[in-house]
Amino acid sequence: MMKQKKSSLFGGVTLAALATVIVMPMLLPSATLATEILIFAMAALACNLLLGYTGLLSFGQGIFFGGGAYVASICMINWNFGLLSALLTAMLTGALLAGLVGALSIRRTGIYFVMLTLSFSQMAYFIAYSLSDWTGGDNGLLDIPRPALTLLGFEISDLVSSQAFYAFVGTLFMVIFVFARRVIHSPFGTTLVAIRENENRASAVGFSTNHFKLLAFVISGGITGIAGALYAMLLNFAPLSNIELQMSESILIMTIIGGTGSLFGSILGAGSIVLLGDVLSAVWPRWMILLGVALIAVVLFMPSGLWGGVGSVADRWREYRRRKASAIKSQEVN
Amino acid sequence: MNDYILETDNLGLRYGAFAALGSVDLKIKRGSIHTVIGPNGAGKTTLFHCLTGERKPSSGHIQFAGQDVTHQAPHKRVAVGMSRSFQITSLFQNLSVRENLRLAAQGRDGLAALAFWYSDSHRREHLQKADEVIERIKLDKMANTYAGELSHGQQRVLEVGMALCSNPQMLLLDEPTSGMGVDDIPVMTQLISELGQDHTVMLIEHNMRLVMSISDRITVMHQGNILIEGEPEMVSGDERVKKAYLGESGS
Repeated sequence: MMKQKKSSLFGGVTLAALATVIVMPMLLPSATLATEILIFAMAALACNLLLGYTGLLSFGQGIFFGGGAYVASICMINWNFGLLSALLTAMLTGALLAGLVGALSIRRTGIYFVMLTLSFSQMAYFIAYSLSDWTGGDNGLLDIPRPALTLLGFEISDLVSSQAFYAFVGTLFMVIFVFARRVIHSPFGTTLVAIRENENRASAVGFSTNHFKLLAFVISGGITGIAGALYAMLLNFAPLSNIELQMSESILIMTIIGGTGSLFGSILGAGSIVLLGDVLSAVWPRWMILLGVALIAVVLFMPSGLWGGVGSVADRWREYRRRKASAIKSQEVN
Repeated sequence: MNDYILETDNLGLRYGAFAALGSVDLKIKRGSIHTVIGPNGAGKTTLFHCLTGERKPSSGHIQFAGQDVTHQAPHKRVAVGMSRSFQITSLFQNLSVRENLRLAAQGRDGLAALAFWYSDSHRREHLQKADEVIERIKLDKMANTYAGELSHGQQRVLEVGMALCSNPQMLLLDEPTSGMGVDDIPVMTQLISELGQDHTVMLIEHNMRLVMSISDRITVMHQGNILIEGEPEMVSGDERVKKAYLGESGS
């Protein structure tokens, strides 16, 4: 028999995520690299809500990432938006874009759904490219400020140092992580899993599945938008590549390598891809080939991703402990 | 109150020149077990799909519990008290039996289940409903097993259990014994006749022994229309039925 999992918001996986956020900057060569990992972990987490929990393979994640980055940056540059209001704007932008892309894409399922998100992704790229007065076109948007963190008029940190910015992103990441845990263990989240498992049945027991898919898109887009804005603040720059199809791909690859259907997996996925890129690109400019090899290996040999690999080892360990315990018990009875 | 929970009036479904369903006037009495039988291609499944909302009829009306549900989407029919099972087992394979049933109970909430800000265990009534149904379909020992790991017979029983979770007034069962072994069929027969005590049950079924033993009324379909309707004894003795149905597949 299976164990009954109890969903505690702040225990278990959340603690593991917190430990990772705390330990990461100590192990990595720079806080900037750690920040980049967390930003992409956020995006992968959001992608996971769609891919892992709802079963929707969306190539639209780059739209929300790039959209969030552009709109937040434009607001900061032109209208002096503060840190939190810029992030809020990015979230709303991501959510709104996801609402649009989602509303039209979920009208089809399977391969047609994927093709629709793909088309939106291409379209968004060319829109960003042609609106060069706003987005800087090919050159990207330069000189993006990183506003200070102020709450109720008090400046808490200027976020100039990379450590301070990491601390801010880490805190925000944990908030989003806990939020995502809440979402997946809510009536809404469990219904998403039902839709992933069997959409026909989900509809037959009374769920209007399109409403659920659309909300999943909106939540995913909102989180991805925040990630995009943070990335722009990190680099002080919003390149056109933010909204390219390749961004959607990267986010998807991180999600799949980490493990679909596990939030902690998204941290592992983002961490391994960003690190791999950082280390390998210094050694070999064609490192993307190795990334392809890694993806193939994970899909073939660890179908539930890195986290799944960790999980199955842990399961075996638990099984071993349980057997041992019951063996001792039966000895005592005899 | 009307004696009939479900009434169709001139219900038809045409694919071009071909009428899968001619003109069906079906009346199902509240609290009865009503079986629809007929040879392959008689239109049973089409009729079923029109009743559940999977297919849009091209003519006629469906009245359910005093409401016109002819054009209502399948998921909305759950809220008015209609619930269905599938001919081809359709479960949430990678979820536990209890979670399957809990989700089915949650389905009755409709859009209220969009709530993402509180825990699913907040709604105790769904878990209670799931446990109640688990007991009823006698899968208590399997409550935490994945649905996909159940035997075929158990999956068929769970399939019916899922339909029970929404507190329906009427259960629509699409060949509940489909693919079941001889040993499992009595379990299903027993379950359906028990359900018949407090629900209206409409089913499509091929297993004659089951049909004859539990049905209050039987409708025989042939070439998209109702051939005859009556009590089991009357139907099994009818010459036209023998010719259309038993003669074809039974000899």
